[in-house]
Amino acid sequence: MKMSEVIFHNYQLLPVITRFGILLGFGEKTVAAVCADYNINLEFFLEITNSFIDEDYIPQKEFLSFPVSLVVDYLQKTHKYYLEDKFPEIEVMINEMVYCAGGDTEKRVLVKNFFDEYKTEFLNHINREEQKVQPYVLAIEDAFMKKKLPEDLLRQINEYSINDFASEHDNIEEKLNDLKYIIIKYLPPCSHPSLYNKILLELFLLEKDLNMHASLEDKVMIPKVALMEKILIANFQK
Amino acid sequence: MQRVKFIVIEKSYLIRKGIVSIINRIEKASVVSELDNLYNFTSEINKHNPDFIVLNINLFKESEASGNEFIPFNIIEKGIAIVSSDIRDEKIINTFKEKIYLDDDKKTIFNKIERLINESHFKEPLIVQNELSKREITILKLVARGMTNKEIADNLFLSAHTVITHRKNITNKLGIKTISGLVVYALLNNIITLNDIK
Repeated sequence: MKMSEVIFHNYQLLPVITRFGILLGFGEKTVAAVCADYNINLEFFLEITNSFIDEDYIPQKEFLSFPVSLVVDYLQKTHKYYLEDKFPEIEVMINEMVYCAGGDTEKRVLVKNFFDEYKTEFLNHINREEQKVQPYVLAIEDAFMKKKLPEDLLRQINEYSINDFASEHDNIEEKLNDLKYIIIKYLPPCSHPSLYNKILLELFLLEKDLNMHASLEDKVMIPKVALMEKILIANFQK
Repeated sequence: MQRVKFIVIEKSYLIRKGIVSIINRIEKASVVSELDNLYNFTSEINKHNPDFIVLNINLFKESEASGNEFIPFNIIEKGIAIVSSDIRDEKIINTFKEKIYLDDDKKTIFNKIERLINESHFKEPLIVQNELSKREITILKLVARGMTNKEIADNLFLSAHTVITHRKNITNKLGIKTISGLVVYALLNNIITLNDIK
């Protein structure tokens, strides 16, 4: 299949290929050829794109065969996309919305503040994942591969295992949901209705991307790490 | 909106996926479970309490021949038979509410399913009271001020359980789940002012 056909099939994959580092202009090249050009694991690319097209695709057994480091790498790229592209874009529109004429500016300020609150929460969530969870996950995989379990990692498993992370994995999508409801149902209209629509469209797309991101964590990364933890403990705990 | 729930029981993967995708395309309908045999269907039915069960009558006949239990009444009552086109006049088929033939065209299948949905006991609740009640507004005000369920309960002489029920209803009506989302709602609708939450 040509890479261009993939995009024509589902344009929502555009940001996905971008975060893999793939740039447009791939001519007649197939998916395999483009992945080879960019040094991307073809199977993993296919799994990710499939799971975007079909929400129930995750978890496929195939996913569990990839190294966790590959999954973490993808999660980090996605984080980068949220932080460097999506949130700044939405923020510009929200600021524009505050100052557009008509309606009640004060009410739009409330929505902007709510968005800022959501953004802060989101940043904290990502920071925690990148600074605490992901290094731990990679350490587990490293130990598993080397068949060696350092003392401090063993202690860490006992103190804070991946299942603790899973149970704390707070649902940051709730605020995003609320933001959509508030704009659609309760915010008085302004003189620039298409701006509201643009913001909403971005929020819907972001929500879809986040859901997919979360199921990659919950249904692929966490079970895989939990399994490795178990095997490591069974082999090394005295 | 509540959807009409279907369970599809069909051995052939091709046919099953076809039926499932047709049903899921119909507004108000959704397939809650798919099975390729009759072994677990009782527990699936108890679990999902479907409005309709679409099943291939061949499965029915196989289980009968092998001496397994007879299809219970609830399947007949809710059943839609999938029938291959060569058997049109068997008695058993006529006990089902509806039959889908494998050579039915698109329009026929959609019509059959839609007719069933419309005729079924399932009806949208006629009037949905979706504005917040006075009691709910009172509770929302206290939630917005940052009170816990316990504090609200003490304040209004209610049980904590009642407060939780009210809060669930508020969220269901508005679609807003977080406390800060509720605060924004209350401010936008002048239920509280900024001074109330300072």
